[in-house]
Amino acid sequence: MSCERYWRDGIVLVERGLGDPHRDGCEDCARAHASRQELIDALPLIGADVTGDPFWQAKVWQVIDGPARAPRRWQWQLAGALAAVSAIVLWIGLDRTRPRDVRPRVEVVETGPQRRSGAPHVGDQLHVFAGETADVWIYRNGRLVLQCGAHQVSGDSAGCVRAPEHMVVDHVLKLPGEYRVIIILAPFALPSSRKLDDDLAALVSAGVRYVDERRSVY
Amino acid sequence: MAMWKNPGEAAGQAVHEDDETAGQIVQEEDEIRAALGADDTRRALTLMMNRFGDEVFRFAYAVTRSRHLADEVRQQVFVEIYRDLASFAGRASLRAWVLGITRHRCLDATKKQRRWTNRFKNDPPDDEESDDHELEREVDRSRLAKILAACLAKLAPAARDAVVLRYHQDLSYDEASAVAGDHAGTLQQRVARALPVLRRCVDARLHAGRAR
Repeated sequence: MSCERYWRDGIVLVERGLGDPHRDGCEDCARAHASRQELIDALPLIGADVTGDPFWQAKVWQVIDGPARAPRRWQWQLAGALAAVSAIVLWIGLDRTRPRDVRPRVEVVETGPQRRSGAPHVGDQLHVFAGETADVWIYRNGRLVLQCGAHQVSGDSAGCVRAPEHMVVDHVLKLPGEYRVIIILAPFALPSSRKLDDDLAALVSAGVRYVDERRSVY
Repeated sequence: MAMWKNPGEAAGQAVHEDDETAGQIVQEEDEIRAALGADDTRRALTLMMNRFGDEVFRFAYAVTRSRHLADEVRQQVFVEIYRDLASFAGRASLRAWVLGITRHRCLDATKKQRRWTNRFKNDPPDDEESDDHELEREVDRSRLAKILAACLAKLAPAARDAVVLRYHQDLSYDEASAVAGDHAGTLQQRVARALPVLRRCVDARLHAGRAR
């Protein structure tokens, strides 16, 4: 801090975008100004080498698509507590093990420029929402590209986010081709042969329910 | 006064975006507005996450100094954006809106963190100066960034936000004013008062590091 005048008055002029004639004739103030510039140049470095959770977008969708959370204001919490006491009374005797009905669905979210046709393109995101006990197998041109779910996790499970009551799968459509999303609703594990036709045949012969969605990507 | 090693490198990051990048940003924001106009909120949110996700994370990290909190803030911000997309219609700046929400969530996160720290009497996480070996080395970018982040955390929240918006997020004072809800002149004063404090803090930490 060689120039108190600069740090007291000169810096205010600089922040306001005004000139400071004193600085031109004062070596100490010029040095102080250079020191301020170093500080400002270094500020963008904060966090530059820090990366966040790579699956944060899937988690955002998980919160949005998941069950609504209770409001946090105290009066609502109080009302909630009263309601909970009433609910517990009603709950006793009911079947508490019944799983929630989370209807599976498949969406393609466009990420590039808006297009006239609704057909998915390379780079779009496949967004699968399924129940906690479901398994999701995604194929491209008949070959398994992503497998995740309650019963098994393949090595390539990036994009699968599981929660206690549901599961969200985000998958970027990197290549053109025909994508098939199989959401298996079996309460037990089934192995995948990694080939669509074989897996479908196995599902049919096992008699399990499944959802089959098809998306052609251009 | 400490002289730092790499002002030139850092200055290269702070320059304004070139025309091509600026054009791309305008195009991305047009796409977001088009999706909003078509009531396609899911597409709008996806585009906004792609456009502003990193920026929100870095802002939150600069304010909270915690990767975990920054991730949490980012998630909350985009959930809130999705919920309030309808209320955005007609506002001038998407970026100011997004950063305004981020700023509020960061304030909540830092308050929560402070309450937690006070309750359990934990010291706030210290910076990397405990690494004695590193003190022998030159001041590198990463270390400087950590020291700056630690010094930023010691500023009053209003001053810290003003500095981060102006010089970390590279907003003009008018843009920062739209985010913070304060007059541009007030922000200029805050930054002018905060920078000498920041400078003293950084110098002291660098000096202490070399003295050990």
